[in-house]
Amino acid sequence: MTTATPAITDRVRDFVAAVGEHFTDLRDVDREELLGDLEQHLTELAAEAPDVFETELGDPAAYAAELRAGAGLTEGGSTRPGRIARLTTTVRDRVQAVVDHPRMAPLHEFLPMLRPAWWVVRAWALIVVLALLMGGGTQVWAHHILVPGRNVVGLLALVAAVAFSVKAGMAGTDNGRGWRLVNRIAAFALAVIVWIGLTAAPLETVYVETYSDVGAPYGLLTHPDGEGITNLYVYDAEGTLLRDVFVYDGGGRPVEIGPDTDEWFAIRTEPRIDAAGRVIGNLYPVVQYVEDGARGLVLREPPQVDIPRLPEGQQPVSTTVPPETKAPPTSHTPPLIQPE
Amino acid sequence: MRGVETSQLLKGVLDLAVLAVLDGDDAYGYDIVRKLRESGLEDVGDASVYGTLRRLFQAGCLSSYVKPSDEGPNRKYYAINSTGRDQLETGVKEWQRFVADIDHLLPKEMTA
Repeated sequence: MTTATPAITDRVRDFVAAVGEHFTDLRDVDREELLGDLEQHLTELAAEAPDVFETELGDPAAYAAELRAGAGLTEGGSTRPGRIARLTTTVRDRVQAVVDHPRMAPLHEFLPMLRPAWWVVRAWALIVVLALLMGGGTQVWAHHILVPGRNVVGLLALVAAVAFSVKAGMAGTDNGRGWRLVNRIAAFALAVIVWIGLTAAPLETVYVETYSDVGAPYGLLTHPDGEGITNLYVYDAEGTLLRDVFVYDGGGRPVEIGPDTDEWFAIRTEPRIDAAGRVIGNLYPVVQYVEDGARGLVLREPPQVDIPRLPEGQQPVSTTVPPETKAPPTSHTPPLIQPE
Repeated sequence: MRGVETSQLLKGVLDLAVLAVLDGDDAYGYDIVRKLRESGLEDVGDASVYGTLRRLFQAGCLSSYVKPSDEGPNRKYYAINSTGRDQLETGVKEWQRFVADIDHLLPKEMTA
């Protein structure tokens, strides 16, 4: 292997420099791309044909112009698009190829028939998005997706938008730059709406959410007005508080106030255990302690209640249980460790 | 002297011609120019070919490697890769369709 003679190397270097002067308008990367290997290339060339400078290369300006054209770089800058632009072009070409496929021909006839539907849908999608943007949180979004606005203003806006969109569509004036933007935004909005529709929780959860501030901690019994029931106190007709009473509902299911205490009132519950070591949830009153400032946890006292007086002569029924129903029909009463 | 028409025609198919040459065997820049000229494209210029090579290389159609030469400096060889082969295949089909279309269009008595 021999190397190029110094004379050739110098001429090549000069020529490359001269060519490079015609590339000053190019981006650095493009210039580097064209010139980076040119010296090597021309050195190869000169080694094979020593008269190449006269016969082949000639004027650096002409060579530069030809090189630029060959590389697809036009005067005044790069025509080679950037990475993203190239990617976009590739994607568009692929999509176009699918669209142009002969098997897609039936779609080409069918899709234009859907155009009027699109005129309505794009108006709807835009109004929905507008309503969403003004409406706030995603919970509200779920409402708006089906019926935008849900009020007179929203409905009027929807009707107006649909009318405007359909009118433009029928007149064929929706081809301009602005409309193309509208179509794009609407298509994007539609995609977002569909996505939210598919992923959002069912509408019912919206309503649960709105009741969450009523104050009944989850898992506790509640009064019809929503206030939590934290304990049950059972009195007989004479007004005596009964202790250790098992409570069942009509179906024989134990009635429990819930697994935990009411944090709101800082009530601690002492769990009761049956002979088998299981927690009993329906033995009332439940033994509870409450926070009482400096005294700390104190035993929760029964409430002050006025026991209604029964009419004179009426037999109190609390102690006369019919013989057949000594215990609830389907429930098993857990034996206590220490029966009273 | 290169006719304007020929050079314009050549511009469109130089990619295809270069890929076709490299599909036969790996080659370095001037080697490709020579092979193109031997095939009848006498007007092809070194700068055009070199520019085309760089563009195809940038487009990911070619790979390159440097190989020592007995007669002179190291040579930069270009080789076609699978992307380039795909491009060549597409280009060949396009070219054949184009030629058929134009043939169909041209007056019969002149093409005969």
